[in-house]
Amino acid sequence: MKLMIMLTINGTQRSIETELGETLLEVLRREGMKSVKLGCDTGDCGACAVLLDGSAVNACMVLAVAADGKDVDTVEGLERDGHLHPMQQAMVDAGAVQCGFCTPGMLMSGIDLLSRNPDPTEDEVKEALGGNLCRCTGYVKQVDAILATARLRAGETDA
Amino acid sequence: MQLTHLRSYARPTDLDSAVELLREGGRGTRIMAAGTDLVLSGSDEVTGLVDLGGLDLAYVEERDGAVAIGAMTTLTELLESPAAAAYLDGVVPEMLRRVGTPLLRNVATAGGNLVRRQPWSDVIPLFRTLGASMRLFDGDVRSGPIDDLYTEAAHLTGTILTEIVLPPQPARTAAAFWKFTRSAVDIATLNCAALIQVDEGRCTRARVFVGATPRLAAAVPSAEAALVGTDLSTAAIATAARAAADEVATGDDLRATSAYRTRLVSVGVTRCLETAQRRLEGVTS
Repeated sequence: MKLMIMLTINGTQRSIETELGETLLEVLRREGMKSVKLGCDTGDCGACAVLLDGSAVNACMVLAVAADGKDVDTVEGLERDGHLHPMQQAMVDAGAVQCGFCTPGMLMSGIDLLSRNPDPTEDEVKEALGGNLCRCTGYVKQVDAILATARLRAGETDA
Repeated sequence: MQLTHLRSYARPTDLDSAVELLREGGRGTRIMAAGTDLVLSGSDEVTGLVDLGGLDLAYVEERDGAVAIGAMTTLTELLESPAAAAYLDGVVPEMLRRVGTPLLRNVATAGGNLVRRQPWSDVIPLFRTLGASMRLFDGDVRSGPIDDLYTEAAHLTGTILTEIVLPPQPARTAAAFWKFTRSAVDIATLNCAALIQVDEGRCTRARVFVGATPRLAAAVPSAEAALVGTDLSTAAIATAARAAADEVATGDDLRATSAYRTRLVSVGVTRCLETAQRRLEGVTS
């Protein structure tokens, strides 16, 4: 059964036709948000992580209809005026990207973390990335990148 | 697409409408909290959903030493709440930090976890150990121990869990949670929770639950009985752990053999009791 839902994706409200049993992951990819990766489809890998009303969630575990009326943020909305988001830039600078499949989900988890906890410890960053699996580089560089973003933000605040 | 047989979905904004929708929907219509477990189940039996996301059931409140938890509170909200942190040395966040991953905890709810009756649930053994009660709504408000969710006779069709209450605990009471997993984010190979109350150096009350055996968590009366009246010495704890290993029926599955789980029962009960006892000492010193 089809029905219409309203999602605010990266700040833009969209009216979207969805099949009742579809997940948020399926709908977002159909809407062109290809940063949202279909990895395991069982809530294990975190490649489909998006921000739902500001909290990072696995889009494969959320029914699209249950997200009706909510805000969804993906990597597509991170860039500002042609500049990468500071955490994206930090990932590039740290060499945290190899195949890139896990990177969007890691960014969402990292952004969620810094919104709750602007000055996390290394352990807290590792815990925040607990739901994001990387099969290429490992995790050290991603952790470094998120810590670097926090330091950069703190520096901006001090200045 | 996971739930291919879905024909109806509703997100009511008041409890009366929710109960009405459940009644009208009949057999295939299910209550949905976050739906994480339901979506993964991919069940063909689910033809309708009544989403509780529109009800005002996400809150954590301290009430005279008790902690009231709205059924739709996410595990993250509970984990980060000051009321949960202040309750029994933070045993609830201690457990929640071991549940799944932040990405799961940001959506999965306390009520959903209890109601789905999953054998691997970490919330169930701890909340039962703590003696949690619940509030239900089926047109009328009812309340009772959450234990009622896990009896064979449990008949909750058309009934919505709205609130869970962790009761105030007497002075000189401590609790602990322990879990064994293959990896940091896997479900439990075995889990365990324990609570002890002490008066003048003697244990006056003990609660021990073991879960993921791989069946649903259950109390371990022999271990509880072995503890009451003792001074909780190393020997007393070892006796309780042996009693638990003898009593708890374990089984095989892909995560572990029955024999391995029986060893884990002994280790888990010992560690929980040791941790709880250390916490008591911390309070008294």
